[in-house]
Amino acid sequence: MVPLFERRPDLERAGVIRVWLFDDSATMVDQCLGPSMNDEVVSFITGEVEAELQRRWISKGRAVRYLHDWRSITTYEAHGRERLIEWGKVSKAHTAEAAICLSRSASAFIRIAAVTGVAVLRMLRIPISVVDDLEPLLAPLRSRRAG
Amino acid sequence: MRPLKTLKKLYDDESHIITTEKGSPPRVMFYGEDFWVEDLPVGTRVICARPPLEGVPNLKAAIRYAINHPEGMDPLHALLKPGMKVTVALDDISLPLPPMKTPDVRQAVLEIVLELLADSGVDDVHLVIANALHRRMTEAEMKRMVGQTIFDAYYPDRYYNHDAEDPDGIVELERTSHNEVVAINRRAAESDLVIYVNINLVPMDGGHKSVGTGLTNYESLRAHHNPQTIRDSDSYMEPGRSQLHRSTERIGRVIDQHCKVFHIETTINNRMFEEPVGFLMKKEEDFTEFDRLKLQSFKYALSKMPRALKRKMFFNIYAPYEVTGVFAGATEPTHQKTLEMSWKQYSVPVQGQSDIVIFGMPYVSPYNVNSILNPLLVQVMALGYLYNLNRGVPLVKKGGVIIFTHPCYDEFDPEHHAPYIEFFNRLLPETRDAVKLEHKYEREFAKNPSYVHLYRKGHAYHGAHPFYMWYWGENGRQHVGKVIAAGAENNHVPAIMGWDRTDTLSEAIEEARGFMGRGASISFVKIPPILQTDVRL
Repeated sequence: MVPLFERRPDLERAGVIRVWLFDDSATMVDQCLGPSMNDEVVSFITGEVEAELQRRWISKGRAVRYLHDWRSITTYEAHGRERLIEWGKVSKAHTAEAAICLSRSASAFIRIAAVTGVAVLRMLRIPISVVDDLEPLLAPLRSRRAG
Repeated sequence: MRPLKTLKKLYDDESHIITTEKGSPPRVMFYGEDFWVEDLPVGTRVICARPPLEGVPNLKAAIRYAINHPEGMDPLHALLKPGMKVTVALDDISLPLPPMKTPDVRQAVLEIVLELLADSGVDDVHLVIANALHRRMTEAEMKRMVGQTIFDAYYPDRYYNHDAEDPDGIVELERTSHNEVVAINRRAAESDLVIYVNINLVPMDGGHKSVGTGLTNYESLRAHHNPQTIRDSDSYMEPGRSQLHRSTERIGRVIDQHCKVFHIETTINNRMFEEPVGFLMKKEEDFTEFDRLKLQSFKYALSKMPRALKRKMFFNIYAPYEVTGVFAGATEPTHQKTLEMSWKQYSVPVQGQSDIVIFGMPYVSPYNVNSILNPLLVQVMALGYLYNLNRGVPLVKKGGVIIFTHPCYDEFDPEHHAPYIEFFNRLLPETRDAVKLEHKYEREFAKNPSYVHLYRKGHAYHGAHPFYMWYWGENGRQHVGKVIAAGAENNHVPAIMGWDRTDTLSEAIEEARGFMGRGASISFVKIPPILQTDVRL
C-alpha cells in the first residue's frame, strides 16, 4: 500500500500501521495496512500513539485532529471496536476533529461498525464523521512542514 | 334441510376459504414495498380474513363504561385518592400495524383517564412508554400518539420512554416459583397505582405481558425471550398453548402482588387499509373494474419510485381502524375479554394443514415502523409472526414448505438497527443455531456499551433485540422443512438465513412441489388484513 506521505512515518508497526504527526496543525494521520482492526492495531493506536500525542500536544493543551485511513480494513474484533470507542470518549476534551475513511467498497459489516462508533461519539458532541475520501483533508498537510 | 343457524355457521366458516379454480382471478400480495399479482395453481386454498367487526358506536362512552365497570377490581374513580402517585404506562409504536389514524386510541383513553385523575386530585402522574428493549420513540412519534394537548402538558419531564438500562430506574422484586427475575420500572413500582393503556393488535399482546415485558429489563426478559421457550410454544399467538405466556403470567402475578395495576385494554378491528389502497381489504373475486384500475395505477407508480420513497409513502398510509372493545380492570379477567374479542375478529377456521403455505410479505413489522424491513425482520415475519398466526396448530405441515414474497434486500437502518447488522454479518455466517447464539453471544451484545448507549440516548433497538428476532422464528424454523424466498434480489441474504431463493412465485411453487411431491396441498394466506388460522385436524 502506497504511503500517504513521502516522508517517513513518525510511528510505525511494519506491515500493520503507519502514523504521521503534523505539529503545526496538531494533526495525527494513521494508515492501516492490514485487513483487520484487531487487538494489535487498537493497542498500538490507544497505547503508543496516544502516549506520543499526550507528550507532544495534549499535555500542552492543544486539541488534536485525528484522520484515520482505514480503507484496508475488512474485518474487526468486537472488543477492539469497543476499545476504540472508549478511547474516542476519553479523548473528547482534546478532539478538534476526527474523520474515518473507509473503502468505498467496504462491507455493511465494516461500515456499521464505524457508523455505530461515530453515532455514539456524536451523541457526546464529538465532531467525528465517516468519509470515503481523505484527500481534501490530507492535501493541505502535504504542503506543510512535517512535525 | 339444515336449520338456519347451522347454515349460517357453515357460511361463516367457509366464506373465508376460496379454492382456486381455472377461472379464478390472480391474487394480490405484498412483495415488500411493491405488489405482486399472481395466478395460483388450481386447487390452492386461499384463506381470507373475516370482514372488519363493527366499531363501538361511541368510543368515549365505551372507555367510560369500561373504567366504571371493570373486571375484578373497583371502578377506577374508586381507586383514586388526592395526592397519590400514579404511573400510566402505554404500549409503544410497535402497535398497531400500520399505525392508526389520529386520534390514536391511546390518546382517547388518556384524555378520559387524565381528566379523571385531575378531578380526583391526583397530580403526580407520569406517562411512561412501555418500550422494554425496543427503540425509544421520537418526540414527533410521541406527540402523534397522545395528541398535542397531552404532549404539551407532560413532555418531556412527565412523558417519556422507559429505560431498561437505567441503573437507578429498575426495581427487582422477588423471583417467581421458577426462579425468573421480576424487575420493573422504578417509577411504576413505587406508584400507588399503575394504569396500563394497551392496544391489542394480536392475541400475543396484553395481559401479564404488558407490564411484565414492557416495563422490565434484559435480565427479566431472559426468562422467556429465549430459544427453548419459543420451541416449547405451539404458537405464541395462542396464550393457552404458549410457554412464553406461562412465563409472563408467573412474572405478572408477582408484579400484581406488589403493585396495584389497573389495565385498560382496547381491541381494534382489522380495517387496515382504505382508499386509495382499499382493494387490499377485498377478495379479488369482489374487485370492481375501478379496483383493478387502482391496483394497476398503484403498481405502475411504485415501479417508478425508488425504494426509499415507496417506503416513505407506505408509512404515510395510516389505518382507519375502529375500536371494537374496551375492557378494564384486573389483569386476567380483563385480558380474557380482550382475547375473546380478538379471536372474534381474527380466528378463521381451516380444515387441515397444507404441505406448502404462501405468504405475501409486507413492508412493515412491529420493529420497523418508519424504517427498513431488514433481513432479520423478514425472517421474524416469515418464521415468527406469519407462521405463528395460528391457534396452536400450524397451517403448514411438519416438514412442509413456507414460501414468502420479498426482495430480501441487504439494507439496514443504522439508527434503529445497529446491533442487527453485526448479528447478521458476523454471527449468522458462523451459526444459525439459536441456542449457540444465545449462549455464546447474547450477553456480549446486550452488555456492549455502544449498543447500550445507542439504546438509551439514540433510537436504537437494544443489543439483545436481534437475538430475540432470531428466537422468535425458532418454532417455525424447527417445524418447516424448507423456506423459499420468492423474488429475493440477491443470493447472499437467503443463503445466510438458510433459505432457498427463486426469481418468481411460480418457480418457488415448482421447487416446493419438487420437495413435497407433485400432489402437495397449497394454501395462500391473504394477509393483510390480519387473520389467525384455527386449524382443525
